[in-house]
Amino acid sequence: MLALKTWEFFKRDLRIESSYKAAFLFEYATTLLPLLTFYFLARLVRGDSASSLTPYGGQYFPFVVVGVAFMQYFTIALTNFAATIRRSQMAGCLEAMLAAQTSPSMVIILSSAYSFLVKLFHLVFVLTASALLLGVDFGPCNFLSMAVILVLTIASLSGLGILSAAFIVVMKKGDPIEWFIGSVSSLLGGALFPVSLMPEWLRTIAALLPTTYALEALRQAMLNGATIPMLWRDVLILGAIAVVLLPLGVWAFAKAVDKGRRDGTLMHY
Amino acid sequence: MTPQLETILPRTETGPVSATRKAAEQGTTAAILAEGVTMRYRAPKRYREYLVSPFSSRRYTALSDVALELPESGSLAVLGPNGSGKTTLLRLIGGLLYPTAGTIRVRGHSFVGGGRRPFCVGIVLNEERSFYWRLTGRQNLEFFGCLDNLFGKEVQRRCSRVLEHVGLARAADERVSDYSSGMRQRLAIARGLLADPEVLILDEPTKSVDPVGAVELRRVIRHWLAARRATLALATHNMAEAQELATHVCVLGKGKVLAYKPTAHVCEEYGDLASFYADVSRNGQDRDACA
Repeated sequence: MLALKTWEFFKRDLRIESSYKAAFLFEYATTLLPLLTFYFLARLVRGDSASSLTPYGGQYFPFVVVGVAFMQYFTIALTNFAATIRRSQMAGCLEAMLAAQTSPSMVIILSSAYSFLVKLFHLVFVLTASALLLGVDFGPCNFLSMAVILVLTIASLSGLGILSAAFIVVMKKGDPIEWFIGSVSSLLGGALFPVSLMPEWLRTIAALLPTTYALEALRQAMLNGATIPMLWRDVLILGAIAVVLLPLGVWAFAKAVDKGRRDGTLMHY
Repeated sequence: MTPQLETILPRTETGPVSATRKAAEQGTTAAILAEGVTMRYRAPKRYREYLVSPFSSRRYTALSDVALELPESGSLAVLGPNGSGKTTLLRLIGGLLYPTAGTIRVRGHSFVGGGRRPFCVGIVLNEERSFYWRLTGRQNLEFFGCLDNLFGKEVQRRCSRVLEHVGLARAADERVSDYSSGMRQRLAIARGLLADPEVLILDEPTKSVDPVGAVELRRVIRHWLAARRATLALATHNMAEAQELATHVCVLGKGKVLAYKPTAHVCEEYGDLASFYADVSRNGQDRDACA
């Protein structure tokens, strides 16, 4: 039944998104443009700074491709749940969905199925294009390690994302989790430059972000072929974050919906 | 309080607590049982209040101490002026809101606290904004059907059936954005009936439907009620609609129950619902003036 429901949610979003034909096509172009920017930028980044890139093969472009492509994907886990709730509130469909025999937590999780799958295609598209057109060598990639890290990261960030949706149900706008984790993660999580370049106090903050461990492990898996035993520390940390945050997020979301029903503010936006 | 109003106000000594006991003794369950239901909405805070009283919240009362019992085979029409609390009462019955105080049970079950519902509730509220406008009517129904665990051929069969019933068969594959207000209202009723609910909640179900269409929709709802032995709660300004569909009428005024009576008794006493409603409203205003 879960698979059938997931399919129905996916079908709904596919139909809606594909009805906006221009946006549907331009999305792929938008995904590729930053890649070209970093390709040319990478030509400038040679010489002294290259030593900090040695653990990742010594080249900036492969480093930043992995960072930017995966960070885009991780952003979905962080923002999509809250965005879905807000869209449903504004479209007026939230109440109709919550009146049915599917739990609110299930509704929000399934509502993100489409975005996760479509953005996964985008991710594969970006990585393939960077390998075929821009010469990034993913030859050493350990796909199993990459997949495990990806799943663990999505699980841990989804916990934060659902927590963020709980804030949206209560506060409607101005969610502090998305603001803090979203903006800080892209800056300090190591998407654009190695964390080792930052001063000690910023590295301490970076160590609190799941994306720091995720990107580090993904680069090791994709550029150096690291196996899961070699990445045990990152796997353990991401797994622990997921085990704590995912149930916490689902619990907080159910509580927020309950509060909305008690205060009569569930449909306000 | 005028003597006439006293006779039509719900009396606490014959109220819900004794009704619950009586129902339990008889082995029956009230279709809807409300006991001291109060709903106070949270009002948004002003910036100043965050500084002056950061931990307090302002609330306004939409319903106050509502008590009523609808018998097992009954259907309820809620009447009252705009802002009297009709929609709030329906949302509470449907479990979309939880009461600030008191309890509300539908077929013996309270929806407070969430959890899986033991039976299906069809809810038709605020229909202008409750569909995906880029999808067709049929696609919308198929999606909402899956939320009530209907899939594949079963949901397709049911969609065709309810779309036919509400007169949307020919427009089923058009986008909802191309529907008129009346068509969206029909689609909402189709969605409400899709999962064959045991309880149907309708907020002004025919408000934007043409008169001929409204008669037809009422016929569909009446047939469905009879066939399904379901519970209906509707709010309406249309007295003929209330008289046709409901076995009991409840008149609300400023969040309070002004009167609650079986429709048959009302018609016997007053001739029709409109006279009853006018009388109750007038007495309610008199009472407010005296207070």
